[in-house]
Amino acid sequence: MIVHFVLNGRQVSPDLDPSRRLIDILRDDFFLTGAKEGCGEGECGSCTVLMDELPVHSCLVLAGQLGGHEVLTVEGLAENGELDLIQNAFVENSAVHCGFCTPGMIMSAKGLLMKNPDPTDAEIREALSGNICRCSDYRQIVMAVKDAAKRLREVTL
Amino acid sequence: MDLKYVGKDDSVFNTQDKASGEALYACDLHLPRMLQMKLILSPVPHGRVKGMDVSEALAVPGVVTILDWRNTPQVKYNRGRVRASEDVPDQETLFTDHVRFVGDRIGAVLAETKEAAELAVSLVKLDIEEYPAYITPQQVLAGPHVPIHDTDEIIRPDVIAFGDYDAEPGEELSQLSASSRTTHVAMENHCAVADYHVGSGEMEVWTGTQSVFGARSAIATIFGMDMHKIRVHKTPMGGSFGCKQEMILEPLAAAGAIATGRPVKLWLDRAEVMACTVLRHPVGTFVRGKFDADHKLTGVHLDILLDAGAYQTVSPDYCLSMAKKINWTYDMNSAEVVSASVCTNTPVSGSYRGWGGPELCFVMENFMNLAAKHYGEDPVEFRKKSILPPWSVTKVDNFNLGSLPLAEVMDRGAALFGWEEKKEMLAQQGHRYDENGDPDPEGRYLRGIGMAICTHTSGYYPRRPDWGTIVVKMEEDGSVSVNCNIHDHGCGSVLAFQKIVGEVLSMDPARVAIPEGDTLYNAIDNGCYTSRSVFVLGRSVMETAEVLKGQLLDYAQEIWNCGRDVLYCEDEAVRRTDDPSAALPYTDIAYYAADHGKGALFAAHTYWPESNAGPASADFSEVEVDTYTGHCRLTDFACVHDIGKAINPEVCRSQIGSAVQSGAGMVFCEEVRLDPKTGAILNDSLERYHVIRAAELPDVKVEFLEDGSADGPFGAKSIGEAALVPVMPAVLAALNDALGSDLSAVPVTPEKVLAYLEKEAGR
Repeated sequence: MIVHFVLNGRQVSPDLDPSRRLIDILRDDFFLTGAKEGCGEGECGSCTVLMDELPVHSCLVLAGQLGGHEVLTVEGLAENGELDLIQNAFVENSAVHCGFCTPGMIMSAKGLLMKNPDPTDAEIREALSGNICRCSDYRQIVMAVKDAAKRLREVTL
Repeated sequence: MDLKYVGKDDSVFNTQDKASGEALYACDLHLPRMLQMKLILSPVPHGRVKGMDVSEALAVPGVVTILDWRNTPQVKYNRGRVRASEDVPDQETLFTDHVRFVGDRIGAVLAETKEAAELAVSLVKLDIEEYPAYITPQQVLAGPHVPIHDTDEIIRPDVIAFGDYDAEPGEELSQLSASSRTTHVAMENHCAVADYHVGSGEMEVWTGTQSVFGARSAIATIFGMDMHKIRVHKTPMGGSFGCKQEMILEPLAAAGAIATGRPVKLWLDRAEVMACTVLRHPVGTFVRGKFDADHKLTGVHLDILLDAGAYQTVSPDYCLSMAKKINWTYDMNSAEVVSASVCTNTPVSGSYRGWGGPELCFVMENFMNLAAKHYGEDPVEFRKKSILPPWSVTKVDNFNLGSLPLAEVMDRGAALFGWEEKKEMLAQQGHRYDENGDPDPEGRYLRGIGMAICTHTSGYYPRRPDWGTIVVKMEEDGSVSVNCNIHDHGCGSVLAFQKIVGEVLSMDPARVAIPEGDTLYNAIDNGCYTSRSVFVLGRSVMETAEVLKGQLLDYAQEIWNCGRDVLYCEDEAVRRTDDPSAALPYTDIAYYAADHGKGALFAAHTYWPESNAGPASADFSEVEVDTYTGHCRLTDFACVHDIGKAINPEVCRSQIGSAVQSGAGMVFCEEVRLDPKTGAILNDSLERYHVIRAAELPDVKVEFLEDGSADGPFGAKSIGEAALVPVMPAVLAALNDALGSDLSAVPVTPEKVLAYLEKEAGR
């Protein structure tokens, strides 16, 4: 079936088997390999993307559910060759280690900050509890999200 | 020394491509004509494959071929062997008809798509004659049985001993302890891509490995290939924690590439990672220790039983790695460590962060906590009577352990944690609390505190010859490229090396390129194991950069016709103390050297370590137990780590944090559970294998001791492995304090907590 949806700001209309997973469509058809597969069952968060501004596990979303929606992946964040504010907050706060969870973590952080522009540490930790990082105790990631929140509030003021 | 880059937290230039999603891990690689490989795994724990009907599988559109034990080399190898000259038992083959565990490799399907490969695997019909299965070492040791292996099924490594334990006077205490299988949960699943050129006979492999030379050696051995025709690239690695240090996927992908003459990707899903790569060893121990009248430890006797899983691989070495650390933390007159590594019909056990260090520390620190309780003493003060003093020489292998500030890390750790205050409060108010955190003798929650200490290794010296051969070259624009066999596990070793070079040459580390492991260009190396990267390779890189700096100064001296003693390097230029306005930018020197036919700015150098200063560290933890659910939570944690010099401090803090996450997980919840009859994994998904999540971790307090005394670059010692070593016993001690128990088997799952509380209530 032809599925019309918006991918990183561009209208796309691929011919898809409705039972295919979004993660495979992104990685295998569009070569957007930022979303990673760590578990295939929505537990690890490495494949997180935004669908209509809400974080979703792209391993649990099927092609048949995509029609008319907007999907944003980590590759859609940078503009004009520059990382966006949240990505910069992650690199500047030493929150990127092995980097495998990073794209999903950044997308979850973006989803959180769109809803809650001034989260507490506990709220950040709660929001990121669907994303596993094994390289840290999440300290630097929490710092990055707080920093990003502060910068975003300054930009929107 | 005033340092400009080392010890600072800038990692931006090193991590941007990961934040942008552009970093390509092995699983992200696409090559033209690439095939997908899917393994055919044994559904039974022990047996002989009599036949395999692949007719339906081959009929699946897109299936190219099927490999099994009959059409691939049957060369026996050891996945843990890094160099072919290593004397380790060979038991494993690419594929086997004698299957030895649920998940053993019988064959593999190669297909155009992963969907086709998966479907074909499900259509393979196996005819297997089943043998009795032995799921525990005790079942194998019990007597006659159907052999799992003809040789080396049970290996008893050399007994490590000094003094005469039996003759040692003093009171003897003893303790049994046990830890379960765990899986590493590196976020990146295992993946290898191999490409074979039929015309040239050349093989190229991309893999997130800890040793490209190890992968090359395994492929060369199994397929009888010339090493110069095999090029292995280390790709960005989404975490290892030991799970990617053995040569598991690379030879399999290579077999697929040779069989088809096409590029092949072998990617394992999470269940396959758990079943078919490597799990942390289940270890059973019995420790006996003697104490003199002052309650100082005088001798230790330790029995170790390691469940190797279906193949010995690294397990015998693992026993020795535990045993040889017996005299690294505590002073004792005598010790005797007896170990055995036993094959069973279970998934293969093998490398895990710390390689025996955490396992031995778990035994010894539990035991010291038990002994402190037995004598009614404070665990910190009790330990001070038995710790080794600074600069001690261990009685096993006789090498100096370095500054070894065990008393200092304990004292600073106690202060950082508030040990005395917390102890006092628990003594006055009791261990029970209510929902609001207020003391309540009938309260729902229990709280306890505990601690543990350790020291660990910073490389191979002196147990194995070690070195680092490095090339540092300067380009015409003054930027630098380093050729070093580095494999960054994701914990910033490349970043550390960039800063080391930046510091030596006084240049922006962002202008230093350090590509990772590549067998075509790198000098042969021992691989990024045993926490040697910074201590050995980092020092090698530092010295090589110093040689290059010498060349810059030579040419500057020639250009200026001046004395050497007035020259120094700053901000990418050679400058003069006698003329503040004079500056020769590196790029000018590089062009001078080339334009005058002097040759390249190019330094090749080898460093051989002659010391192994292990970091000392002390961990303190506080645990809360919910007596209604049995759920345990870490509520406070402090670590003081004698790192010598933290090159990337924030990244080092994350190493401690990572260790706390997985170490506490191993005490509370992380456990690969096996079916007791078949050895099949019962919880082979992240839904059923629990790790501690962001919301369940406290703010971990970390302090580094930076005396700069070690031979590592700028005085650095190791951290990656060492960080994990004392976590488990420190957390278990707090849990025991909360429950008033002496539990010594982990994990202590909620069911076990509730069972313990019920048993106590019934008394």
